[in-house]
Amino acid sequence: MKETLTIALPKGRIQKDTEKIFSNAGITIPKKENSDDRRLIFENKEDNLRFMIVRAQDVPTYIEFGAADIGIAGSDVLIEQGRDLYEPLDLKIGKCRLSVAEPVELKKSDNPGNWTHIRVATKYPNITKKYFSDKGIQTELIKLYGSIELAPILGLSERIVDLVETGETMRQNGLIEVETIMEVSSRLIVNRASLKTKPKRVKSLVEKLSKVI
Amino acid sequence: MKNLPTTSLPAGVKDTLPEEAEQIASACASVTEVFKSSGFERVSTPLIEYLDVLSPGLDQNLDNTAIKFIEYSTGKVMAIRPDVTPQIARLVSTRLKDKPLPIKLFYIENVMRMNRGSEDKTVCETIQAGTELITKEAGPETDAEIIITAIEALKKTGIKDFKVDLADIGFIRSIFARIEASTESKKDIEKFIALKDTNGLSRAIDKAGGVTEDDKELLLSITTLYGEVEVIEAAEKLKGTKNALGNLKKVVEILTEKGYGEAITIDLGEVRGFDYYTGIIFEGFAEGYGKALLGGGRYDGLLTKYGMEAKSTGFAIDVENVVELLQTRK
Repeated sequence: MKETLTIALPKGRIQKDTEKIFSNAGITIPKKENSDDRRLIFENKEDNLRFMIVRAQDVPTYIEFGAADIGIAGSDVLIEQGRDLYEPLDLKIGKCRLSVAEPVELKKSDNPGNWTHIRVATKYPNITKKYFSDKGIQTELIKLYGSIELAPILGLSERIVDLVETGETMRQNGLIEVETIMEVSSRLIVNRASLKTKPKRVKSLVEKLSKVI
Repeated sequence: MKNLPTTSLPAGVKDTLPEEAEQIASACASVTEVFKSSGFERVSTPLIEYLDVLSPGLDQNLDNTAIKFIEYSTGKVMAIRPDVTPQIARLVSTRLKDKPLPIKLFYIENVMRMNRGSEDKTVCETIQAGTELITKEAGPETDAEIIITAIEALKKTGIKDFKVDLADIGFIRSIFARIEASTESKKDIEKFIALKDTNGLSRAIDKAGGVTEDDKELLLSITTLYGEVEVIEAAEKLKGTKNALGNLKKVVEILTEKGYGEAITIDLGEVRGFDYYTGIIFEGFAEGYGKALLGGGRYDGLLTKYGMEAKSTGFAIDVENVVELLQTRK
């Protein structure tokens, strides 16, 4: 009897791409039976897998504490949270970049080379702080949980650090990217104890998925 | 809300009520029994020390997590111990330096660390039950002895389905010694090995330069060389592993001969404590429990730092993790 592997998948943006990778690898993620189906855990009895769909930011937590063995999380979230996990696979989905942006008007007269102290609104306080402090720039951080683009419009901060996929949201809100902090993509993450105690199962899943990326 | 004097605790510390206190005491009694019957003697060390004294014997990561403060009368920096091992090294190199080797000591002590992690940096107090084996010469026999003590101790607490995962820092160090790249590039390579991120590792190696094609292939393979003891044989088929796995192989051989083969797994890509350990490292894991139950390894440079020529190896069991696991297995 094979041991069960529990897999935590993020809700939202990359859910479709994730399902595609798994199905290409020959693994079925069971679907909701109807729109009233409120279950959070779905079993694939054939492969002895258990799937749960959770908030993207929560996936690394589930994995680090071993509530799930394997998960998928964005490299942005992983670096921001700094958790103790394995990241064996870049799934190359959910691609975007984390950038510094400011109002188009400000950009005209602004020179990032002269920044010494700036106020930044972001969902990523740790990455932002480290990025700027490595350059010797002090930051006053305003942590927001969403609609970051509003901050410069309403004068909450001059600049923001946020994810950019196409740049359309930024453009529509009168913002322009000034610097790219990092490229982002989704990673397969594995709990340390799971890899050590179920090495064969973990390795075979990683191999199956790596073949279809 | 009534206006009472506040009774809250700082984050990261806790009380223990009778039932759990009893479970912790019982786990401590079990490991004590094993440590004693394996010839280890108990010692006790103080909760605080001068940071200067602790630092040489601490893994850099632990040094950063120590809670520090100033001694009022002297202005010196003190720390609450984040680890007991440097204290044992100090004790052995001063008070016990004339005692004939081997010296075998154990302790059950509380340690305090600032929690790693992002949003809420809090202190974290844990109970560690550990042993230190100090010998004149290092060798696979002493490595095996300390690992067997660890396995027996965990067994005695009542945990059945655990594995002790072995690696040899010496193996990866031997590859690193051949790489001609900056310290920073090597750190980068180490980071991606730690994550088992083959893509990232490949990029880091190319960026670093100074890595031969054979060594690149070897390093990339290391990220998947984990599992049963067969991975050692798989590794030996790769170029550049000659002799570098001899010690680990011998340790596994001794453990298997003595009937502990089922209790061990291998992960050649484990680089935890890369700058601290010098040889075999190991960690205990149980299926379905996300945290390590114990951790340890060989740190041959440790006593030298305290002015004594001797080799040492040891481990510490996280007693509360063990108790938490036992509670879930009831």
